[in-house]
Amino acid sequence: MRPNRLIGWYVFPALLIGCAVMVTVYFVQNPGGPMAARLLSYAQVLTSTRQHLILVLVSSLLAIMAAVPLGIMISRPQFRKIGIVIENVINIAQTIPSLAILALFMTILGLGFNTAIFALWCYSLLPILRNTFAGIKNVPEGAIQAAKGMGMTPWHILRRIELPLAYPIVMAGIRTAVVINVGTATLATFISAGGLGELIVTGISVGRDSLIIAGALLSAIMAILFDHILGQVEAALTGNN
Amino acid sequence: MIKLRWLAVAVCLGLLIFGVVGCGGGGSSQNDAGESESETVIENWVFAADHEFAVRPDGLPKLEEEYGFKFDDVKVMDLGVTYGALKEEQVAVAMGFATDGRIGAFNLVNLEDDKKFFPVYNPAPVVRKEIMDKYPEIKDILDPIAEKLDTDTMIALNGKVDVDGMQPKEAAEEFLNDNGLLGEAVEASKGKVVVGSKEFTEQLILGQITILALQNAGFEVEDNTGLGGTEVARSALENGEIDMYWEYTGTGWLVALEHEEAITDSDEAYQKVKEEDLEKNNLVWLPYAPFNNTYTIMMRGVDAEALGIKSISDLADQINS
Repeated sequence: MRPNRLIGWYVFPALLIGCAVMVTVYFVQNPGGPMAARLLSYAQVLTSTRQHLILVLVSSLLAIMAAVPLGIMISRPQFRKIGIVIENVINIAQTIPSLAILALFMTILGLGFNTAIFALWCYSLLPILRNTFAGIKNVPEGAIQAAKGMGMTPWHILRRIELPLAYPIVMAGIRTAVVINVGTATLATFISAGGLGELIVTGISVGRDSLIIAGALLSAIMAILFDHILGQVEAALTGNN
Repeated sequence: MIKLRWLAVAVCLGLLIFGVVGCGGGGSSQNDAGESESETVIENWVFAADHEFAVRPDGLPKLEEEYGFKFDDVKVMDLGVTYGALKEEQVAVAMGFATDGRIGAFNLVNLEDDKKFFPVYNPAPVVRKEIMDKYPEIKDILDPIAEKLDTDTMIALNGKVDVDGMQPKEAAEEFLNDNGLLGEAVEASKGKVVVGSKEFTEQLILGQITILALQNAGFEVEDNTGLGGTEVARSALENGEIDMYWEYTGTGWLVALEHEEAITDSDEAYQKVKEEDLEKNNLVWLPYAPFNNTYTIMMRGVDAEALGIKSISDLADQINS
């Protein structure tokens, strides 16, 4: 157990961060022309990465806080009908392209951070909600019956039986949502919310591959890192339940 | 076992606090910009630019060098949203295209490019020489129209279509009638002319204006407007599929005639492109319109007035003071 945990919590994340630092150093040293060098400075890459990180963290946390309780709620028998409506509304919302959501809410929420967070939040809801719902639905009926037979209240059943059994599926939804989020956050730059997309979009519009590759590599590393850390959290928590 | 649970709670709380701090940080910077501008003392000269202009050596860096100033901060965004960002007071100055309809609709003003930094893009009707030889009166029909098309007029026309939802044809008709450019309608059929345009609002309006004016003068006109981009319209003209369309001097010089260096003087650009295109491609450039659809630096009208800023040099002085 222990060496595994050491590798999982420290060595692998450190390796990934090391990769990110190497990518940054490489591209700052070899920007491929003065035009790309304007963006490929340590300060600018750090700012973009920090903006990207904050966009993903804030929107994902808000989405988890909204979608997990909602998923639990619509899995209760008394909310079955509302549940179907909610799930369909979110399903439909998911079909609107993310760029369109950005453009639509720009007029209401203004440019920048808030709108980007809102769009990313919208996009993270569905995977988390659906997995929470599916996870709880898939708890074997027998386990619930047995719990009832032991005299557990519905609240106890939820906390002691349904949530622990549904937990891996809920976590899978969260991981999916966060990884998608890292990618979608590259669009935030269109409405001046910054992020690694600034490197990528500038690279595309002035035809500088170094900018595109640097931005894409850094956001890919960030996605892997998030996925890995969430996997570690999941393993640590299931091991103790 | 219990410790790990607390660790999880601590991590979640940490992330949450991080998130809230991030939210607060993002929010407050916007408020700063909003507050400082409401009393027209602009402390933070934040500039909205698109991704390309912000880094191109002949874009923002050269502009700042040429006029000798530096913006406090640059916010990078898609070109279409800079107008809104400026209107919403999220930035103090923004770049855009000089004849966009939103400039009028959002009460923004173009700052004069007094050092002739930006390349010029004056539009002029480009007609095949064959057609000009056959119907020389086309020049007399289109000259007075081109004369009336200044930047403010074009902003208003684009605004009618893009902001108010009018059809390009209605806007064109209104413009011709308001300026008394149509005169007596001629019934006799003089011959057939095919008019083209590229596919964006301004071009569609120019195309419709041309069609209406020629129809009124007794020509049978085929409407071939909305031809995609420059490449499509230009090759249609060179192949004789259309007889004329409005092209911008800068585009003609850089794209059609494939020169590398942009020209920043209207007359010079027109004369050069006119001579070369006639010689090489048998195309006639009729006199150009005064409006210039180039990059522009914009401010909110109220701010510009309160601070007495009319040109980019004034802006530079204000920022440096």
